[in-house]
Amino acid sequence: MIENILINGAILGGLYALLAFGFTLIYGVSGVVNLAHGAFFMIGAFIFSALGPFLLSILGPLGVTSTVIPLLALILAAIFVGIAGSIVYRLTIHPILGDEVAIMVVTISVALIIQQLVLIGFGFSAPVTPFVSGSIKIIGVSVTYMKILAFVLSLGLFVGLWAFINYSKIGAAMRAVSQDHEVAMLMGVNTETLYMLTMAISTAFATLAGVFFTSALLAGQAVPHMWLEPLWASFAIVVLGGLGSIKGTLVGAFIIAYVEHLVAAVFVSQGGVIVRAIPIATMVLILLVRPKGLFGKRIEME
Amino acid sequence: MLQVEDLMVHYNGAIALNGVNIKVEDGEFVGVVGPNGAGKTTLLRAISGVLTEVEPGKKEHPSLSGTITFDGKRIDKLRAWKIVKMGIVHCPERRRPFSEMSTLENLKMGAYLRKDKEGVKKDLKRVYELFPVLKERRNQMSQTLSGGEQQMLAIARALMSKPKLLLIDEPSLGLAPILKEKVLEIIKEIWRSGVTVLLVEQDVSITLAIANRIYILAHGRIATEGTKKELMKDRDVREIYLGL
Repeated sequence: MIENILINGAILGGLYALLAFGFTLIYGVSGVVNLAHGAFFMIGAFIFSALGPFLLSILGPLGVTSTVIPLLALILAAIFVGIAGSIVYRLTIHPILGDEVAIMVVTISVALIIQQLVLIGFGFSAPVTPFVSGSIKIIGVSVTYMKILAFVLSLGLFVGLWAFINYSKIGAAMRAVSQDHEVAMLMGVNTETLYMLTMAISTAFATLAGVFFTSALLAGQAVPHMWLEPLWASFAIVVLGGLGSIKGTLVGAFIIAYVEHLVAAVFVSQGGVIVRAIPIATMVLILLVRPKGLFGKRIEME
Repeated sequence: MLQVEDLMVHYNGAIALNGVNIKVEDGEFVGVVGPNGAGKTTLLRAISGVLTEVEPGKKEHPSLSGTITFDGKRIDKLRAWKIVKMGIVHCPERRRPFSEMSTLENLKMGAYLRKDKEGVKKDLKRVYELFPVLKERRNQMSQTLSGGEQQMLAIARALMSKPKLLLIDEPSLGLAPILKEKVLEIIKEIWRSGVTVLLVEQDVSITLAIANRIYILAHGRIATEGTKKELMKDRDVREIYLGL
C-alpha cells in the first residue's frame, strides 16, 4: 500500500505541478486570479481528442506513424488554446485589470461559456486515449507507460518554464512586472503583450495538463464539466504554496497529491467522494498555520 | 525638445494638474519645485505615459487633456514603452528597485529595449565607473542595499535606458545631506555628458543650486518660472514659494 501511495502520489503531484504552474504564473505576472483555468484544461483535452483523427486522416497516408500523431496533436492543441487564451485575456480581462472582483466574475463566466461551447461543439464526451500502451512494475506497483510519460513530460515542462522565467530576457520582464508593474513599464516593458504572452503560456500548460490527466489518470474520457476540480486543485495548490511562488507551487502540488492518495487509501470505501474535498481542506489547514502559504513572502501591500 | 501645453489631469473628479505649461530645451537642466501634493509626480507620470496605463489593482482612472510633444511628436496618447523607446526615461520617486532582483539584473532591466549589445556593455562599464559601489554590490539583492545605494541604482538603471531626456523624481528624498550632495553631483555629471534633465524636487535650495531654469508648481498650476537669479529677485516668490 505504501509503495502504491508513493508512486501514484508522485505521478499525481507532477501533473498537479504542471496544472498549477500556469495558474500561479498568470497571477504572479498580471495579478489575475483566472477562474477559467480549469476550463482551458478541459477544452484542451477536447481539442486534442478532435485533432487526433483529423491529423491521422491527413498524415496517415503520408506514412506518419501513430505514435507521432498524438504528440503532434498535443503540441497543436497547446498552441491553439494558448492563442485562444491570450485573445480571451485581451478581450475580457485586460480592460478590467484594475478590478479583482470583476475579474473573478468575468473569468468564471468565461469558464461557463467555454463549457457550453464544448457541449455544443463536441458533445457530452470525447475519448482521450493514452498515446502509449503497456505498463511496467516499479517496486511492485504496476504503472502504465502513459503515466510515466505524462509524469516525465510534466516535470520537464515545469523545469523548462522555470528556467525560462529565471534566465531569459522575457522571463526577467515577467519577474520585473510581478514585482513592480509601473517601474517595469518605465523600463520599456510592453505590459499588455507581456500579459497576453503569459496568458498564452498559462493556458497552453493547462491544455497539456488536461490531456495528461484525462489520458493517464482519468478514464480516458474528456467531459465538459471537468473544469471545476482542476480549478479547485490549482487554487488550493497555489494558495497553500504561497501566491505567485514557483517553489511553493511545486511543493504544494506534491503535498496535495500525497494527501489525496493517503486519504483515499485510509478511507477505501468512501475514498472517491472524500478525495474531492482534499485540496481545499489541505489548503485551509496549512493556511491556519501559515497565513501567507508555505513560501509566500508578502501579503500584497500597496 | 519637450513641450507640455495646457496639461490637465483629473483623478476621479479631483484636479491634480490644472493647465500646466512647461518647456525643456535640448541640453537644458530644468527643475520643478513645489510642496507635497502640488502635482509634481503626476506631471512626470503624465510625460512618461504611466499615468494612463492599465495596471493590475489600479483603481483610479486619471483622465488627461492638453498636449505633450517630444522632438516635435505628440506623445500624450502613446503607450509608456514607446515613450521610453523615444528616449524619455523616468526615474521614479522612492527609487523602487526590483527588490527580488540583483543589482546587475536591475541594471539589465534598464537596458530592456536596447538591441545594441556592445553599447549596453559600454554603458554598464560607465555606470560602474560612475557608481563604484554598484559594481561591488552587483550580485546582491537590491532590497539589501541602503537607501543611498538604491537611489544610485535607480539613476544607474535609468541611464542604462540611454535617455535623451531624463526625468528624475525626488532623488534627495530620505537621504543624509552628504549623500544628497553626492547624488546631485552625479546627476549634474550626467547632464554634462549631454543628457537633458528634468528634475522634480521638494528641496528648493538644491534645485536652485543645480538647475538652469526652475518652474514653481503649486496647486496643480505653474505659479512662476525663471532662472535662480530671476526668482530670487522677486520677494514674494522668495517668501511664499521658496521659503528663503
